[in-house]
Amino acid sequence: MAETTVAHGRSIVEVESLSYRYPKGKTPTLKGITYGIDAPRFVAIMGPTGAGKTTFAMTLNGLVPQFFEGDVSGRVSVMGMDTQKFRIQTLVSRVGLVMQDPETQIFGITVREDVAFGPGNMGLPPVEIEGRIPESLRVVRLAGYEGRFTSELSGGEKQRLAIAGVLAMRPEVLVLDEPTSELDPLGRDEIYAAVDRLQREQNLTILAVEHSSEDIAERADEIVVVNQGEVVWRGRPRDLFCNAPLTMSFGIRPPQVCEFGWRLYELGLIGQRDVPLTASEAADLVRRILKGRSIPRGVSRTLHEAAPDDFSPVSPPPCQATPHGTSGYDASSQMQGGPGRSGTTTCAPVAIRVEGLEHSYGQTTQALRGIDLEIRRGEFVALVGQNGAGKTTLVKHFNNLLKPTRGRVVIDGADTRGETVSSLSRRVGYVFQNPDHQIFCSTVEEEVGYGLRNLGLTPEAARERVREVLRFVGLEAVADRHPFTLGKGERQRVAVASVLVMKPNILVIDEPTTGQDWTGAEHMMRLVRDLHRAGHTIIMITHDMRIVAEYAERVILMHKGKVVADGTPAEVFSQREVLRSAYLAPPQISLLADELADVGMLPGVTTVDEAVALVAAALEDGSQGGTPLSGTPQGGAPPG
Amino acid sequence: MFLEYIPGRSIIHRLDVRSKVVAFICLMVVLFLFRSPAYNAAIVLAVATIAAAARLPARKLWGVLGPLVPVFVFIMVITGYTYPASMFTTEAARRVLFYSWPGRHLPVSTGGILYGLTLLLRILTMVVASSVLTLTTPLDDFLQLLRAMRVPYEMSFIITTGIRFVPTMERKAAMVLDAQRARGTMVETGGMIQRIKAYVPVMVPMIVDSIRMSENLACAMLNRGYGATRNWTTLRKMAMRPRDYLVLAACAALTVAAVAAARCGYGAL
Repeated sequence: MAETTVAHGRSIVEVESLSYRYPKGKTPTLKGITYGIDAPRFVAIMGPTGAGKTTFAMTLNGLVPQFFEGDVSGRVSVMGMDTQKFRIQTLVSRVGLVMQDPETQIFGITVREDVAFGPGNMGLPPVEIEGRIPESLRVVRLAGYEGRFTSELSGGEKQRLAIAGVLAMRPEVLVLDEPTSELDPLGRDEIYAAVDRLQREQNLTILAVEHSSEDIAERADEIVVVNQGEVVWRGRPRDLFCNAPLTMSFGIRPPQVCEFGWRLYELGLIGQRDVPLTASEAADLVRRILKGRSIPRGVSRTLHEAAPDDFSPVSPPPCQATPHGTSGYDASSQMQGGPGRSGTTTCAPVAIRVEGLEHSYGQTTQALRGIDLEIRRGEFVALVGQNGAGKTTLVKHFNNLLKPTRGRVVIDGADTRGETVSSLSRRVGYVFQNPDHQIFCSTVEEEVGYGLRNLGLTPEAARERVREVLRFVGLEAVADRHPFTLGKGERQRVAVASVLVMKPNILVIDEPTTGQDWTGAEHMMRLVRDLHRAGHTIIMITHDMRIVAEYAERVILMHKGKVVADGTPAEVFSQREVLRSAYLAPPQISLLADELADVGMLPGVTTVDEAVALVAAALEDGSQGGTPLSGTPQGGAPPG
Repeated sequence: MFLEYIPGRSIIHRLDVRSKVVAFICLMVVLFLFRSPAYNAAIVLAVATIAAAARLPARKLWGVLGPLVPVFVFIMVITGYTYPASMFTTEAARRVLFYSWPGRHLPVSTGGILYGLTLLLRILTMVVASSVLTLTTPLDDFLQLLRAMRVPYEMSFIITTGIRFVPTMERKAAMVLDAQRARGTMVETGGMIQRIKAYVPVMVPMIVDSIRMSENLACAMLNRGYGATRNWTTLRKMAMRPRDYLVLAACAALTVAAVAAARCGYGAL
């Protein structure tokens, strides 16, 4: 922009002891935030769910307190404009805010109309608007999409269109509230490519609320950690992420290589300052420690065999103890003599058999192009692939929500053709991604028991079953609460419980961790693992490769309606070419493994534990006890 | 969606929305001047020619007309019985075609049948003409027209946003329905009352979701500067071109001619 206020020493964002309480809130959402930005940069706002990040973002263009009224004190000014004094509609020409759900941010029937909406509201001359449309679309890589119908765009394209719509108003500050949380990996990459371009070409100040530390570790100039309405930490990504315990104490998961580095530091192998931020830094570091030694072959093999079930994440996330101990709930009781425990899957009976399955929507779109698959009882399968690869279409055949166009699906030996959705609901449970798409009762207990109505149980038996399930998922204490008063994580548990109550052996779980912070995701995944251990066959759709590596026993990778890879996480993630062609990236630690291939690191390394164990083994194998790289560790003795 | 704009470059597409609406009104006037099916058939032919010039897909038009066929037949039968021969002025129309009951009972008049034919030709004209109008004119043009007629922006905004959200809500409804069916809800069986009851689990999440969406939508409107100025810009500007004036002149001439002809007794039945 021509009138760069920055040059005149005025700050871009200035927040002074800002406090805010929602009209019905018991406690303030923001408590005395003081913060400033005086030069264009990329700032990541991080922190657990409910910390006040979204509220803070909305104070920057005046939505809080002008739209969401409430008790406010302190001052916010952006580009020299007080956000409590200027109208929102005036502020938005300087500060653009893109919210989480793109669906409700698109107004046009065509892409062109939508981008024109903002500048049109500003009353700009048509010629000017005509110029801004292709320009904004180009930045978000939607060039040439002008005439497309907005209803036909993918999730990622919609999100980018939402950004373009705001960019067309030429703001100097861009605020993005979790721009990638609902997207698949390719969608995320595209968003960040656009963010990079904006920074490079337009010198914008960008503030992004983000959960994924790996996406921003190398991008952000600064990280602001918000917790319980306060700014609790502020600084460079390196200073935060490379101190893994500090990062975790804020409820944020550090990048995998940082966790890896911290573990090496804990083992006394490196100094605290050597903890790497990127995969290539980590590779250099390992080379220096190994000093020419390489990883012994035998170690890698035994490691993989032991891997899938018995390790937990590095350290448990803060403030979460598993609330549910062992309970009376026993899923294996309804399995006809099937093996309860996981790990013995090879001899277990087949739970799902898919033969030559094809599915077409309408006459033109073929979503599945010949799937052959066998899933045995007690398996823990992660189904991965881009949006539109056919994952959801496939699993919807398991409970008859969709019927095969060609081929067949056999559940526990019976062809689904002879079944209905409700008869299959007793054998195949399907937990949808958004719990709010099913919750309609006024108490948790009623909600969970709803499915039992058609089962003909006595009221006592039904009640007992609901209690049992609530105990298992850890919702006993809130049985009488209204589901909508619960947090997202708990509502998701309600959804799981309402499916579990039908006692299905097979559980299909669609993106259980999407849109949740680390604590929420870990909590959910522990529940999924408990279900698996109780004997359920798990089929989980997810975009989080780290979760896949840590929890799943088997990965099925789909691309364009076909299964392109199927095996253990190590096997599938080793097939880099296949992954690339399906637009997926393996967990970050696998990139480290790639760089260290010459010293014997296997491409199948997918978790921090494996990588650490391999490095440690290499050191033991060579000279007894590796010498610390840089003398005494800085910053105190290693914990633990 | 039903009768959605089909982009195109035909002469009809390129006419100004005002010319099209005026032509449409003139057509409606002319349509009710003549009772003779021959004249109305000529009008149908003219409208069909225009539809062909606009390159409208015949299949889409048939999709609208197909369900009306039984109605057409029904109209002819009814008018044949109910319009007595004495009602008509021309010699041909006053003839009784046949009696459907021995002893000269329940006569069917030629005029009645012909008039029925006229009525169905009129319906046909209206359906095809309104399809031509809506399929060749983007929504934005209609909004421009509303604006020129001093209808508030809010009104036209509600119309566009409403239309924009039809596919979104359809998708949501499908998701909710799937989620409920997956936990054993039976939506497709049972009697009337049971079916209505079964839709409660679908309607409640839909309503809750809509309320949440409306709040987000309101925020998003503000984020995009909605209401910043009264003089909002739309990219499509209505512009009368020479061809539009030609169309208007032709409409005026034809309408006047048609009125005169009708008064002289042409096209009577």
